[in-house]
Amino acid sequence: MAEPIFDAPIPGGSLTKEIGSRPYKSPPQYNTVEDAIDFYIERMSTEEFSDKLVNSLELGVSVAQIANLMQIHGVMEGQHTLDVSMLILPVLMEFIRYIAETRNTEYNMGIDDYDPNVADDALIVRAVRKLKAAEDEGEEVESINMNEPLSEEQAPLQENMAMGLMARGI
Amino acid sequence: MITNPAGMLYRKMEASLEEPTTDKKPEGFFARGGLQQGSSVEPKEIVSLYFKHFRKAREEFNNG
Repeated sequence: MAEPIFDAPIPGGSLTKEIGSRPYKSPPQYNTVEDAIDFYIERMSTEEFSDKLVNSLELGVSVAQIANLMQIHGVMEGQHTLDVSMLILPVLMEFIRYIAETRNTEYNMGIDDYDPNVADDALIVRAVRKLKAAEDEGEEVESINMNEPLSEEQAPLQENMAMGLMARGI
Repeated sequence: MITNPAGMLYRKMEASLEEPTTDKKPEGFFARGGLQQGSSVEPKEIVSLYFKHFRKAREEFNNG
């Protein structure tokens, strides 16, 4: 049986830190949507940012994921509040899209709801790279026929899986 | 299906492009300095203006 995990945060632990001891516990640097958008647009308009952005998009990272990371980082660094970040999110996504199109880069918007049965593009790209690397090293890779249904042993058990928070295995 | 918050916000914003624009839009909005203090323009409308601005820029780029 697996050992229980004891390194999870203690409930209320975040409230024991001193006020202002973290960037996000201080007043935000940009407290209006206009200031926050100006801050991001200025940073995103640089050649360096565009190059890195194009690389990430070509790796299969979606526009929504990049914009999300940017806004979470902004909140953690105390640049703006969470509500401002939610408001500016569509603008960041549209600007990333604009940069991608001016650089003739193919991109995935990532605006559809998550379907657990569909693999993420970035995951597929990583898997293909791993596979290529293994082939280059001369390892034998077992091929799977995707058209054949999985056998009973291979198929994950779905019917008897317990649901709910307390049903999580330890 | 698990809701994608970023996607939901983006789709909502795209849908709002069909709506008529507000009369409260200040002139020279994109000029440095932006809105005056105490302006009646709501954050949602400001975001919508920026979104439309970049959407227009993208469409103009694609149309040459």
